[in-house]
Amino acid sequence: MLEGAELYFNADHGYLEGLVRGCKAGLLTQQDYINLVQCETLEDLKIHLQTTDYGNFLANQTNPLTVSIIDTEMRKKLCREFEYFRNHSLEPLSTFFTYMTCSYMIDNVILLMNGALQKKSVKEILVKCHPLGRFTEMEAVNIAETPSDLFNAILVETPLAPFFQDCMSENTLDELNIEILRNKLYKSYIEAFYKFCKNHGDVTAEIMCPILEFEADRRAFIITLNSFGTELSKEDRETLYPTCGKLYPEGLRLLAQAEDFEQMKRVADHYGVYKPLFEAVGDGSGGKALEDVFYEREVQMNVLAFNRQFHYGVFYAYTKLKEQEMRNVVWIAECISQRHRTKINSYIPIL
Amino acid sequence: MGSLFRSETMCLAQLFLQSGTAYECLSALGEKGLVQFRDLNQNVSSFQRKFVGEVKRCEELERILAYLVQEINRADIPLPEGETSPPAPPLKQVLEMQEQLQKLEAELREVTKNKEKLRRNLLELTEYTHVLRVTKTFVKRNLEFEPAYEEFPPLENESLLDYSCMQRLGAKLGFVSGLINQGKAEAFGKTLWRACRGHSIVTHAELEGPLEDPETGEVIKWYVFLISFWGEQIGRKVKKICDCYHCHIYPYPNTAEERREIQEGLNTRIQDLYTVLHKTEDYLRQVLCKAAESVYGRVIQVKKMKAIYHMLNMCSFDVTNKCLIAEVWCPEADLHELRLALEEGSRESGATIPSFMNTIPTKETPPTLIRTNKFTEGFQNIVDAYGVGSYREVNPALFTIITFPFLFAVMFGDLGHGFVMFLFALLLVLNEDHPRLSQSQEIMRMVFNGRYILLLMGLFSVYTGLVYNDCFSKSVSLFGSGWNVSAMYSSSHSPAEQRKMVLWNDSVIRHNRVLQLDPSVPGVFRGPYPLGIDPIWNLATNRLTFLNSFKMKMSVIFGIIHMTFGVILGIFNHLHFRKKFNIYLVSIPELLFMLCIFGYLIFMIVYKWLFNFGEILMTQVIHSIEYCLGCISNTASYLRLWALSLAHAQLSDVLWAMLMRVGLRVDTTYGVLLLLPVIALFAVLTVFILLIMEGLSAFLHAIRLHCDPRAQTIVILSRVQLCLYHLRDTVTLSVTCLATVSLSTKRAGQSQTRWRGLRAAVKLISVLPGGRGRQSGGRAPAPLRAQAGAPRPLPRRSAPPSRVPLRASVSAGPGCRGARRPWVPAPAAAVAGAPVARGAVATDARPALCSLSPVLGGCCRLCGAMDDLRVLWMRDRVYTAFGITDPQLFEELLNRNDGEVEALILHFLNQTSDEEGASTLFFYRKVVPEEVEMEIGEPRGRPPAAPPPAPFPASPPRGLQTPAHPALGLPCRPQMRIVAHRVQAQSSHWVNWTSPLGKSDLE
Repeated sequence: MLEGAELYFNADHGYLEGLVRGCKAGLLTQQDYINLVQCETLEDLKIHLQTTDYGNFLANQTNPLTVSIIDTEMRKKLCREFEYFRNHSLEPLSTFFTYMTCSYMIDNVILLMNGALQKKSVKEILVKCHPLGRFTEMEAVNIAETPSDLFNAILVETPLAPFFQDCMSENTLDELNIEILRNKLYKSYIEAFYKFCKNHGDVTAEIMCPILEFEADRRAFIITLNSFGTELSKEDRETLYPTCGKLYPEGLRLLAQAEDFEQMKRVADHYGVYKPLFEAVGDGSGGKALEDVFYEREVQMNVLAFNRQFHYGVFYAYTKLKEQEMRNVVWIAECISQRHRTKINSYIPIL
Repeated sequence: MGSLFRSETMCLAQLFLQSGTAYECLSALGEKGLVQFRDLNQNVSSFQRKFVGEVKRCEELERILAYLVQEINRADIPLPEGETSPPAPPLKQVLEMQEQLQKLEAELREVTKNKEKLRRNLLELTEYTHVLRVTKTFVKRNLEFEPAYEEFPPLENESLLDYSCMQRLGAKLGFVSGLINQGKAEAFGKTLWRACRGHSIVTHAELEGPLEDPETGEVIKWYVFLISFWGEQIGRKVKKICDCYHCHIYPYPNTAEERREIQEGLNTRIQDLYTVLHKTEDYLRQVLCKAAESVYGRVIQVKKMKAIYHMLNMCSFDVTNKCLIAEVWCPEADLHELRLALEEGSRESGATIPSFMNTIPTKETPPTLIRTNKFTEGFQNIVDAYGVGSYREVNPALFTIITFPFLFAVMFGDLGHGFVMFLFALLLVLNEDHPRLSQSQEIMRMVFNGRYILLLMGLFSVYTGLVYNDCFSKSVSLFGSGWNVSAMYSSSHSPAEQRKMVLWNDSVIRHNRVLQLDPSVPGVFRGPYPLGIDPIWNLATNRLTFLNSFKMKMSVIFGIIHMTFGVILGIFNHLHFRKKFNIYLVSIPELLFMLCIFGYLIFMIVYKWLFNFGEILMTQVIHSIEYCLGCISNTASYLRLWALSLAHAQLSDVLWAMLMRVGLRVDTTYGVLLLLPVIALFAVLTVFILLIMEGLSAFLHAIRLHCDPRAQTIVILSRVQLCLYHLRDTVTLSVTCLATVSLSTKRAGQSQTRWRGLRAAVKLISVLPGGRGRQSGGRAPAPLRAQAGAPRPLPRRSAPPSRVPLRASVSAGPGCRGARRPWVPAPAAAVAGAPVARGAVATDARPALCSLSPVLGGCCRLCGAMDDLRVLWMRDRVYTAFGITDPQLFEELLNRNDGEVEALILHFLNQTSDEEGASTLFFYRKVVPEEVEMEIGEPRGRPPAAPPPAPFPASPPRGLQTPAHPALGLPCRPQMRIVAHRVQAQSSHWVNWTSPLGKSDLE
């Protein structure tokens, strides 16, 4: 508090903060969702989206509308906004933006390597890559055969390079190894990002650290959940957990020993934050999926980030909220196009 | 005019449109612009409405048209802009039009696609020739190497080593050549180096002249590169990397012969492509030219069609689904037109059953419609910027046409400037049909739309400029000045007159920097100037003073008239809407308030101008108006107390919660260590933020509270005080002595700020029983009397009649010395404002500054106090105030202590040092209210009669500072110290006010 971000924050980042708050006000409202859910066809959806901040982003489509076109166009729009923010940012906000793109870059690299493994053409995969995580060297990743190869040849000059320290190995990149590589990269990434925010201090730390702690813990839970019934050993599993969350260290040790969902839930019960989340998870028939519960919690934290001023968290929160909104619209669009309306209401409401 | 005074009468009409004819009817209605539709489907979302399909079709047409326009623009074909706006297409034609457009689009897309394909081919071929040409220069250097397989530039030792190594292994040397985007070249080179571990060599050179991408039209700079590598595996890697970087790869010819062959082949193909491309482009141009002819009209038609369907979406269907029902607002005057339009629409569509309309009664407030023309439009816009009037309300725009330019001109009054503005506006008005003006950009368009306003503003400015007699800030002597300067010379008058009047002669002119024209000298003032202000004022030094007063009064008068006019318009509204009680309860009180206060003010201003009315009465009136205004603004001003106290409490609360509470929460072992810095921080913050910062802010606000909002009150005070003149004050002081009021209070010791003094003074005035208090007969409140114990009521302040002392205050202020010095220093004008300003008002009709001349001519000498008129006056006042009749009493006072009192009084009257003279009296008066205030709360039962004089320290203790007057920054006169001393020497009931004063003051 005494550092007084409010004294100088606006000199460098005031414009962007104002901009991002304006963009946030353009998120779809509850009423918009109610209207979207009533749509009969994708054309209806398009007409309604035209009345929102999306405007006529689908106007130039000559081909019949598909869900993937909507998705791509929405992504493009987000990407335009993000690029604008990034191009107008000053240090250290631009580093913050770079950190934000890293997670998408990791996803893209992994996606491309998986594609190469399945002998798919690069172009086919490229369409699926997230535009926020694009970088020049990206398409060359499939020439690498081992992680150290990948690092030495391709990624050494990208922002991803520092995250490779823990995962240099000469293992050939099969499916499991790629997955391990992804999680190790992500672990280093999230720890580095956490450290960056922590060192930055001020309101940014106050806002971003809880969000990243939650992100780390969520990954730990998801890794645990996904590793049930795979050949991943418990020791290996533990090395994948990001260590900057609330679960570190006891919770992670317990999680590493967990063998099914019930045991995982028991670990979560020790933590006041996660207990209610796991309680909200239904068992197959009714209730929500664990993923959705986590998403809801994330949305909640991101919305709350806008209650404070003079910090970088709003940019992160806005991007995440916008992503959630895109997931929602895509979900609704999928439900409409597949005529599967029973589940159309299970999008994550953005408060 | 009538329609501008009130908005049009509207009625709600219901249109029954046969579903077959609805489109045509709405088209006809839309062309005439008669009605406003109400949305009857408000709770239906946009994609669920009836005609959403048709709207979508319109959007599709719009998309095609936008594509056409884009292509036409790209081909640089001028779009012919149709003069007329074609009506919406009949439904039968819509399908035809759609087909036509779709066909056109398909054709266009195909041709464009072909063209792009051709251009891409051409580009590839051109690129290849470039690659061949540039790489040839790379290889030239190594021609001596044979065979071609092994040629490579000997760049580094390492590669040389590798080369020999490779040769041993029998690896083949390969080449990849191509183009790469300039921006990616560097990263590409690095990646290649890292991925191939140096088993490849890249040579690149910039391609002169960028190439255009046929798809995006983007102009990109390229690098031509040649990669030499060894081994198949690395070759695969290299090709992959080239793919990743979106390089354009072209086969590299192994021999010079091959190269030449390829080159020749390329050249012929390029030639062929050019011809084909030209033909394609010609054809494309033809298609586009044909499309361009109709595209403008089509765009408008489609827009109209879309608008019609949007309106139809607002209608509801009746039960039989055969008829659309629309509700519209329509001006009553246009109902006939509306019927005609419906008939026309039905006729056009050839319907058997005509569409018809009904007016329906409604209680809803209709929308406001005010028809404007190009002249009134600008004024209406100005009025609407504040808010659109209610239905049938009086429209102020009508009056704005005159008042707006006039008020502008009052501020802008200058003949020359006004004329320039008028000319500019005239230019715009005369050329208003010029297309470039109506299509101009933002700012120019704003000016253009306001051209008639500008015109009137210019005209009015010319008029006011004439009245002000200002032309580019100089006066114009149209009729010749009414003042004659030469008449002021003594030579032009008879000797008898010369003696009577102050006239000019050579020495006067030579030695005075400022000369004064005297209108009373015959021949100097020959009557008022016929129009506006006499040009001689342009030369006068007191021009600003004169114009100041003139313009101030003028603006007040205009303002009041303008506001009153607004109230009167309100009455028209109330009459029209039959709200009688509004007239009684709103308009009349408003008018009363306005006219009683401000109307009266204006009356006084005019009255004074015309009849030279009594100055005093004027002042009183102006004062009371000022007071009324002050009361209103003061009340609002005190809200800051509320806000600031809240803010302060909140801030301290935050500080506590954020620091101390956190500090106190830490557990006991280490908490103690932590607590120390926390407390230190808390203390520092408390001092800096809460005490200093907040204190300063509160202080400033307090000053503001006392200064500006109370300026009114202060003006009253200062005037009362100044009117009193110093005699009265002396009297008051002596009164306190005579009445033996004891003054031992706790509070008096504190240093007095001006504010406390003022507050006390205000209290004093409010305690004084009304007007009578001023006329020396007022009775003091009971507690005071009890303390004083005087047999008769004790007035604490006797006020002389206001007229005489006022004069005196103006003239005799300087204490009979240095009479030409302005006796009120400039900053004091705020406090002493009223009389000084009045002085200016009184003299403002003469073209030179009138200085204050002493009334009490010579200096008073110390020749026996009882001879001094002022002392006598003082005595009389005291006697009247207390009802004392014994003449001995005052003399006894004067003679006390060997005439020390007398000396003091005379000293006070006469002794003024040069520095302090001007302010002496002024400050002296401040003492009085403070003293009176101290009387309150005095223990009772003190014997008032003749208490013994108390011993008094000869010199005041140094610790007591004489308070400085905040407005002037001068120390108060020693009289102040009496108060202070009395506090110090608490024992005294009787104050011998002469002894300390005499010494300290004379030092």
